[in-house]
Amino acid sequence: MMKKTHHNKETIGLRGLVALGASALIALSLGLWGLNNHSLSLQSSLTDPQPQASAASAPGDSQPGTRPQPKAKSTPAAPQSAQAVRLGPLLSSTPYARAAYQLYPGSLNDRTRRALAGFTISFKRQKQQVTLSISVMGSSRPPYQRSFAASGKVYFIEARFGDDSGYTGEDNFGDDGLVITNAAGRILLPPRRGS
Amino acid sequence: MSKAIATVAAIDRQAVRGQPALIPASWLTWLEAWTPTAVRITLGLIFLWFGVAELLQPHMWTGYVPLLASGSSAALFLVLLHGGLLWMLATALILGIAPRTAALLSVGVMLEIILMLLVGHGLSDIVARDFGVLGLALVTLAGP
Repeated sequence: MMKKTHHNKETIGLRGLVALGASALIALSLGLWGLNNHSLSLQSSLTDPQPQASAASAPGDSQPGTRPQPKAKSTPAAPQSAQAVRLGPLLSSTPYARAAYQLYPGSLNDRTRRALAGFTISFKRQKQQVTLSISVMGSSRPPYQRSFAASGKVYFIEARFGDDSGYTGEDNFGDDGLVITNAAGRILLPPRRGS
Repeated sequence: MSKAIATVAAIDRQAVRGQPALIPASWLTWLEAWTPTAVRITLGLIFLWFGVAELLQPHMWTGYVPLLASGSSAALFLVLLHGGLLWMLATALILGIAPRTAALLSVGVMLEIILMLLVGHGLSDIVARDFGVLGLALVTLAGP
């Protein structure tokens, strides 16, 4: 008498296929929506192997009709003149407002220090101008520098704390950004190319 | 080697059985029946969270892609692909569609994530947490 061998195979079934198919369509829709959802990133000039776009991009740059990011220079970024900046929207009107931590003026509280994990930042005031210098900890790349009027404010954007390890570790720079506003709270966009 | 592992496992089981029950026996019976499902669904919910996050905000996750510039289209595409994979695995795990296959793929995904983090950033809190998720995937794979 022949013995029947039963092979236990895992099957998906018709319902499973339909569920997976619907799930794939939803994933596609979410992905397409996400592609149009821009965010701030300091990474492109401070941590990338090849400099591409300039750092300190503002939320205003992702709005329709704004100019694309100017390309970063291969030499260390020189402090940019505050007279050539353009005004963007109010920081409070952007989705990043909730993730913004004020760096200047004032002192850093504990939460702000945690948000800055992985970065070192310093401010140097000369008369009515302040120059900020920010760099990635442990990186050999030169710091990013930018000048602004002393009446302005500087905010660090940290959208997710989950990628930070304590005060010194940062695993993902994609959710970090830097925003400078004027005294009225309007974002100072980087100067136009050639100005 | 396998004999040594079997011996250690037997000692461990004996030690666990010898512990006093901290909860009523009826609860324990219920837990034993539902824990494998709960573990599978929990793993699915974790994948769902991160899958949705990567799909909806891919630009915020490109920093995790090694070797590629974070502003590159390739990094963005890989994040979306990864998010889509997590989403699909989450669907399979939560709905119980081919759970063992989904669990096996989940183990592979977690190993990939841990390896990328170790290579890119070294040992960190995130890697430690992800080892826990890998444990969930292994339990789901080995479960009844």
